Amino acid sequence: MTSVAAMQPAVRAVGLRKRFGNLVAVNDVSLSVSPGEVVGLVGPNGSGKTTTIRMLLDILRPDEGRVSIFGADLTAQATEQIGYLPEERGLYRGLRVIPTLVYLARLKGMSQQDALDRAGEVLSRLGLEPHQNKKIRELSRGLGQLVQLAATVMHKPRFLVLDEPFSGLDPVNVRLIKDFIAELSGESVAIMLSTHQMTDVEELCDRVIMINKGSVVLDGGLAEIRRRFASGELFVASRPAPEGLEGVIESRADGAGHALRLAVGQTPEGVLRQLLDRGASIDRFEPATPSLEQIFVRVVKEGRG
Amino acid sequence: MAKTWIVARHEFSVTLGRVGYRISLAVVPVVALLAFIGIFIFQSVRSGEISGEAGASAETVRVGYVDLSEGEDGGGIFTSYRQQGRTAFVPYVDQETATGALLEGDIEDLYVFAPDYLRSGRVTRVEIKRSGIDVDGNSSAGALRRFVVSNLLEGRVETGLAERVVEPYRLTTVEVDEAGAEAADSELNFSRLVIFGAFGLLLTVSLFTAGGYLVQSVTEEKQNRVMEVLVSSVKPDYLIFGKLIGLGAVGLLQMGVWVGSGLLFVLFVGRMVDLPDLDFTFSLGALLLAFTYFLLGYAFVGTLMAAIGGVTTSQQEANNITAFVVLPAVAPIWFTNFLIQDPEGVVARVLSFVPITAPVASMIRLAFGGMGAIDVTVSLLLLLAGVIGAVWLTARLFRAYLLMYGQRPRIVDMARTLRGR
Repeated sequence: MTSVAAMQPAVRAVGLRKRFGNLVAVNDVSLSVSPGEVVGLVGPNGSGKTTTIRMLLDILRPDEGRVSIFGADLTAQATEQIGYLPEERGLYRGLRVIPTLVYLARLKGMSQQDALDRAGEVLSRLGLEPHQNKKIRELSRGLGQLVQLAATVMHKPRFLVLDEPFSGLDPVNVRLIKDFIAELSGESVAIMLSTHQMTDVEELCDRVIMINKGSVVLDGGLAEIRRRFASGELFVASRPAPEGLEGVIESRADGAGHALRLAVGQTPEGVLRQLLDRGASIDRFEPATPSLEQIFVRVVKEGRG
Repeated sequence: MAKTWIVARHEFSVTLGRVGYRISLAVVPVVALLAFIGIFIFQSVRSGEISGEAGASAETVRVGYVDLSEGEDGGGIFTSYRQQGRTAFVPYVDQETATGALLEGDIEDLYVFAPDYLRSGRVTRVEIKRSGIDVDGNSSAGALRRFVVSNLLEGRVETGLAERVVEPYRLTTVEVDEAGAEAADSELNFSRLVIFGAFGLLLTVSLFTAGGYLVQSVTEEKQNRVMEVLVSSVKPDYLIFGKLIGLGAVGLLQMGVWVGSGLLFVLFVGRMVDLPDLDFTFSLGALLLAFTYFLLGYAFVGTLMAAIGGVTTSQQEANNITAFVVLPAVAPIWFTNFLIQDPEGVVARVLSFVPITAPVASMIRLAFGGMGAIDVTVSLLLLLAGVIGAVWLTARLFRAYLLMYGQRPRIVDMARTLRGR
């Protein structure tokens, strides 16, 4: 990779807009993903995520705006650097695993021989070697999904779009794919992960882009977003429970501890001192930050309001 | 364009692997083979040669004769020209010996020329009495006539005249235009009929077979959700072209096997049964023109069928709608009478200029020699424009509706898409 290419985002979209009849599905969406970055694309159903993804892949043409891949226009050659695992998954049910992988890789510009060699590598990495001569219809749903993931990375894409990659998979395969994503990220592959599972985003992503009603409503690092949505509350897990403390106007149970809302003038240090004076055993004492799921629900509700 | 060929190869090999296709591919050769075996057995039984002699009998038909006639020199008349095509005339000294040979199966027919043949023309055909109806008739009559005439004229007229008496004429038809000038291809009537007729049939069958596979391929890829991956890798118009080429090749292969097995059938059966001689003159121009109509016609209708596959939600629904495309394409067959009787009329010209009906209508007109160069040019240009328009239309519909699952767009929505809104 050249130094110029290294500085460029893998994908950059500027001012994307798409209408279907009277419906504005995507409105002025701008985003970028850098090499080696894992970005979570989240949003409620019908928010415009899939339409945005399809414009990034040149499946749909935007009415306005522009997409570039490593600084270049979205030409046929540029799209060969993209790997796409769609949410609506499926393969040729009557075809065997290796011919399926080879065909789809050849459509991404690989030669027949390179595709055959690469199929062996990928199948081995995903533990699919015992199934390489089976027809797709003979595979379980989970194995079929792994084969589809294999097809997605066959041509060594530099920008990967994974739409709900874990749905329908057992925990072992979920872990396998998570490790694989981390490995690809380590190889400087830019990854966009579209999912409704906020815990997966928290675990895997460096950055989150949230789309609601066709527009980007959040874009930033996870920690930064959490801080932005922090309420100023304290989260305390102690024995005895942190109740009856001075300068605390609300204490409510929150999972394994309590969320405390402090009165004006009260500080976290003041609360901590009171607990220590009481001889309480303290397991956790930290500023309360909302989970991504809580942020998601809040943003979506505010958007509806 | 490289991806177009990758798609074409994939479609070709996948369709070749379908059991249904293999069965349809084999059905005509198998029927031809069974028919050949049936005819072979029938011929063998008729000749009384079910055993190994059957092969030899297929080569040459032996016909015996007894020449009791008295020529001018007092000897028999029929001494020469004993080989007439596949028929060999075998002389016997008397009727008793010849009848024995007939009963033994050494000869298939026996003729006895009377002593007063020159005056009376009497010839007796001896046949074995069998129960039931004689179905084979007198199959050596044509050869007998040539044998007799050749011997009668030997030494009396020059060879060329003798040949003309045996075969008085070889008919060809020459057409002239209104100015009295001979048309360039006026001697190709039969050839033209065969070439354009064959390609017209080829197109019609291909629309039903390859076109059907095309719709099936697109709807399957929509149903199994591969389409989304495909269109993220290859542009819709290249995808359509690839499918057209691959499945067109599938259709051509099918027709090749069918026509080839038909020709082999005719060739082998022709060695057992006398078939009429037909005067076929190969014309490269006619062949190229027919092939051009075939390609453009298939591309036009095939592209529209791909569009139908792209906007429908199931194979069943697609099949119902393709009738609206296929039926107009083959509709000129119903107007064949119009096209032959009034090839320059309004109906013929309209059918030749409208892209959907042009290929079949033009091939019918060309087959019967009723389409001028201007009409051909206009028809081909309009058809080419139709193909380009169909690809443009289909590519737009593909982009918009290929990834809509479970709901078919309304006509008004599609019109809006085509207008770019």
